[in-house]
Amino acid sequence: MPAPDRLGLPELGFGVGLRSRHADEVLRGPSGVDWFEVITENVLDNGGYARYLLDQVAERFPVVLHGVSLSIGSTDPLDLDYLRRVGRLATSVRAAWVSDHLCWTGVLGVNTHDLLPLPLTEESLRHVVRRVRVAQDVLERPLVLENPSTYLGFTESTVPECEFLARLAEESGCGLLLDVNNVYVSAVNHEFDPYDYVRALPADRVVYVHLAGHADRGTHLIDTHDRPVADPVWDLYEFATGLLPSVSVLLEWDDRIPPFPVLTAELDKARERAARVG
Amino acid sequence: MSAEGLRRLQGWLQGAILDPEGVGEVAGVVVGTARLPAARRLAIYQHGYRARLVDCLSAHYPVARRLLGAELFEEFAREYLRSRPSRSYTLEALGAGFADHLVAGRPDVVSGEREPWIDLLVDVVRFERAFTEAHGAAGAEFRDPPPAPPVFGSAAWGGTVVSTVECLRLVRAGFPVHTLAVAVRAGQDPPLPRPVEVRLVVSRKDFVVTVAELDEPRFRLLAALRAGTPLGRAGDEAGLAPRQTDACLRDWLAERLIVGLNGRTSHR
Repeated sequence: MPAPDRLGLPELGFGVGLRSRHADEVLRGPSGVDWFEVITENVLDNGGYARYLLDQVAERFPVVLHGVSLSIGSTDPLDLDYLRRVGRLATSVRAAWVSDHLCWTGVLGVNTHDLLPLPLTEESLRHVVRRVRVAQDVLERPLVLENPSTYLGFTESTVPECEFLARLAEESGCGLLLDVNNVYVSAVNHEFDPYDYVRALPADRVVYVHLAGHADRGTHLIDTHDRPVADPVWDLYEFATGLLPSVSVLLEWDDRIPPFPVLTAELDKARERAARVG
Repeated sequence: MSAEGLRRLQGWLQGAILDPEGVGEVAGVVVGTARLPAARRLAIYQHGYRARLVDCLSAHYPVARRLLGAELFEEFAREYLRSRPSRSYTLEALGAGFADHLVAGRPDVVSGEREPWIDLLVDVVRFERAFTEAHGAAGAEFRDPPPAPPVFGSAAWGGTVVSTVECLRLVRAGFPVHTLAVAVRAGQDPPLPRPVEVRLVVSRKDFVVTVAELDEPRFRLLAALRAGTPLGRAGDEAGLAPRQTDACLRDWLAERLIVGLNGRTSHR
């Protein structure tokens, strides 16, 4: 199966989130990691080691900026100054693309620093489409949006999340970041079929895939990014990569961060699983 | 759902997260299931918000947390978050108003008798904030070597205006908070320090935060220079002789606390 177009964005291979504690291994030489993702807000205003490390890594590897504060679904005005800063940073480090989440983080000027769920309606879809177009104009590049893990849905929602994302990509021109772990977490929490969800996304808009670990709280799952990828998520990932040949893959591990070889071993699993269906 | 409806719903959810006690009916707004009812779904966000931001403040204020103990620190942190929720896109700014919040809420000011431990807590919080800011702000690592100092005694010397490095922070404290911080960060359990005024220069070298003490005249000189006062006047007002002022200038150029002269700075 030929690789889909994916907005003309490059295929980067298999990457991990950049962490300063892994700097020595990352900068020393070949590590089995093809590219790195950086949390945008961790480097946006930074003039210290975080920015230095990003500059060093960007000279050697492709990097992607992954934000958590765009708040694309908020009813507050878009923060254009923030967007311009992100655009300048992306240019400075030659970011392969810029991503964030389908969510909102606050209103009335407040930032909860959480990825809050949107009511999924025709009106909220139009609202987000409008804002994505503005954001892409300011960034001067396509925006790539991720499906978040959610723990609640609204009685007023009328559009399934997978359909919402597909139509958002179609109508705004944005790319999609398929977080396979988030799909699984939300599927368990909201009792839907994660395979139907993945099948419903437009393959030519899925720019990359996220993998991460989650915690089982008995009645629900929490997206914790603090442990290995769970077996059902690996299975869903394998299914997804069958629909998304050569898609770029990123392993997230943001808490209780393990030694670098543990990360690269997990990344090797991702390669093996993708190769089974490739 | 109208645009106004979306705005109202987001305001409701944010209010329910920031102030869990004020939330009304949940089941009519949030979909619940037998396994996970609506109120428990909302509680996941309420708990996650507090835990994430209190953890962030704990990471930024380890010495204050040790002073207060985990439970009391978390109570103070939650009260701070209630009264001053984050308005920044970065968590680095989350603790920026913590010291002012503590000062504004001092119970001992109302009673008229200052409690020394509160003075110590506020000093520690101000110092730890300066430490965090020095860690993340632009430093001298990305700059060219320092410029040559002006010739002492020349006509231009006294009018020289300097640029200090962006990561420089000046902290005046009534306790030796820097030695307390070193001990706490080393995992020790030091006794509470006795009051003694310290003037601290917090900066960074090779990406490591540095802390040094200055005497009163030199602290005032550096503060005045940082505020843009010309060299000659800053030295006079600090009570230093011109030769002493010139020696400070040369030292601080070498230490990269000063990175530019008369508006000329250069980046690598």
